[in-house]
Amino acid sequence: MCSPIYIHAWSKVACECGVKERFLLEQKKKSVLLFNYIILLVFSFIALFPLAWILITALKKKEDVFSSSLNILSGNYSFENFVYVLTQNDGIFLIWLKNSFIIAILTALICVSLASGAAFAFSRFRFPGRKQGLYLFMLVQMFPGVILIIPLYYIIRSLGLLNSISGLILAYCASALPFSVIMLKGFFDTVPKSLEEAAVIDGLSQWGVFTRIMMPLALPGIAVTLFFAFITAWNEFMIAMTFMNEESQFTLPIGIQTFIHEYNTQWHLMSAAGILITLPALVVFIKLQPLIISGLTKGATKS
Amino acid sequence: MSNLSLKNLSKVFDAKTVVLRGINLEITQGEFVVLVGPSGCGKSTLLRLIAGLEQPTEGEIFIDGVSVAHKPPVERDIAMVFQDYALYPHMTVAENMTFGLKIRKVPKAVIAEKLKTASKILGIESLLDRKPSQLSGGQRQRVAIGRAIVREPKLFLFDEPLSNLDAKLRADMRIDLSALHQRVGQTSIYVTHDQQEAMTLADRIVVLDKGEIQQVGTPIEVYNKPANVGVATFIGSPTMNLFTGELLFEGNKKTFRFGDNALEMGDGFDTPLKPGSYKLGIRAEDLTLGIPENEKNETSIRAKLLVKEVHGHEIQVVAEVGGARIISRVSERDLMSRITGMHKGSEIYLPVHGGNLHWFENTQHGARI
Ligand SMILES: Nc1ncnc2c1ncn2[C@@H]1O[C@H](COP(=O)(O)OP(=O)(O)O)[C@@H](O)[C@H]1O
Ligand SMILES: [Mg+2]
Repeated sequence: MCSPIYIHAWSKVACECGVKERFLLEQKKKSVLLFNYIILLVFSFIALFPLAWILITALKKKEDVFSSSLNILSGNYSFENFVYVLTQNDGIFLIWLKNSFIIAILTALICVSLASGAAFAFSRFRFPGRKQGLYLFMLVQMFPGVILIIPLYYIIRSLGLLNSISGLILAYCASALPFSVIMLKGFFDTVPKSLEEAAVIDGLSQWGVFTRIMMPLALPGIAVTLFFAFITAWNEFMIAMTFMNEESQFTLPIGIQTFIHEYNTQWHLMSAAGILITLPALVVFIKLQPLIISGLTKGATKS
Repeated sequence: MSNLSLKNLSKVFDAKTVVLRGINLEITQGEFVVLVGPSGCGKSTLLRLIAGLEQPTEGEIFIDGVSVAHKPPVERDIAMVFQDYALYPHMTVAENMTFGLKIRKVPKAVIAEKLKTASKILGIESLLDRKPSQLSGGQRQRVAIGRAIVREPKLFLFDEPLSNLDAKLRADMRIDLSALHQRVGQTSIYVTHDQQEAMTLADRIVVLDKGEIQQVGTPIEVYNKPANVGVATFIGSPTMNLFTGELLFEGNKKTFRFGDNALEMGDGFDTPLKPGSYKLGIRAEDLTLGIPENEKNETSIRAKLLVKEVHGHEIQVVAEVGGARIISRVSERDLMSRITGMHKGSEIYLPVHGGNLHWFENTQHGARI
């Protein structure tokens, strides 16, 4: 039916079309790419500029902080501020660092252990109140945290946990939990049901399915949630400010506040402390980063 | 003793959706049984009841004489191959295959031995260190089967294991599965909606429709003596031709009238049928084209040619009879070349032979007579 001549003619047309279209497509791709880069650059600048500003301020001498010169290279830079922050007041900064670290790590661990169990149940079991429970979590998430401080204060006080690290951990877990559950549920939802059934047939109990199938497969989600809970506790200011009043129990965000005096805020020291606060969080993020690779469930099923 | 026995099994979802009712089935040791039926007829549900992934609403399940209907899967000693493979993505092929053995605390040396044997049978020895994401569809399927084999369970359950493979691979895997069964010899229950797969793989076919067993038999039995209209039209490709009409007795002559055809029943038509309304089924291969001059008589169906489907080894002739379609298969060379010369609308004659007719009651169920 199809003679070689026809085929030849057709393929020629097809080729010509292809080349021209490919060229246009590539042009289009390039311009889209350029546009994307510009947008990304703008936002990166907005995000990074304050950070750069703080870094520069941290390296400046007190009297240079307010110099109007924008010339970055002209200044007199040193690590003096960092040394001062770390050693002042018998190195109390390190105690705050320790407090913050203990609180944030424990908050992250406790919160994720609790949240993963709850998320597994919400994802896999059908029980009365399941839907309502999920809505409630969302609802709690929508309240501004400040509103919760007063009731939280009463609870913590009646537990006798004011001014203690465990009280803060409790409060932070409570505030990080709803979002963690919702986030982890989303990850558990992506694990195909048949995997779980295969595991049950292989002989796993419900608990085994949770620990040996669901948890490893939701590892990226767990890493993200760990980081989220860690940061929630690490950066928190209002609750810590309300609950803690002994200097030795301070966390970093409220400790740093001691650099603010009524008439004389020590910007150079605050900036140095700010940088010092950011570093541990950065380390935690870098440590968790390899786990946050997507596509861990790839290859389980047909597609 | 039968290996698996289902007694009056039924399953109702949410107290209203009846998915299975009154399932009775005995499967003997070493049998390869295929559950076949259209989509949504309850095949997977039945398999999942046997596996213990669902609880029956009513009825009993016995494996080797032990009642297991309310036992968890782990106590039933079964293995299942899922439609979507369900491999553990975070484990290597070897870990996937031996996971069940590890959970059962089988000694390491034994596990290694079994893994070696199974991977050799399936030809996946070179893949053992890969992750599922690094495998092709066919390879994943093999691993999924391997995971079942190493366990050496009492029962193998397969839920449409080949339906995600392309046609060529599916045909190859079908043969491999048959060979595997002959080698391993375990009792297997295999679910599919593909009647061809059912015919080629099964020792015995169980045809399921609307949650009920329609027929149980060897592939040949089911093909040659379908129990009702549903089975008759489901099994076999192309679909069996079906005519609804009246059987009339006029003196010595027995005539079946449908549409404007009056088909006189010739030799071999000795079924003791009473006159009345029936459904008549004729398989396409039993309706071979005749030569017009010789066959233009009362024992032929007269039809108009619609489409010729050339398959190479045969031609399927689709024709029209009184508004209905009729399919005839022609595989004889002379006839094939003659058909090639015919055009749409040509009048053709299809001789009917009494021995190959299937009579059904003219009811909804359409039981075989
Ligand atoms: N968990 C369930 N809840 C409610 N209905 C279900 C459930 N599982 C299956 N069904 C229904 O049961 C019927 C049979 O399903 P299934 O056994 O999967 O059919 P098949 O495997 O033959 O295609 C379908 O109509 C399906 O909607
Ligand atoms: Mg199914």
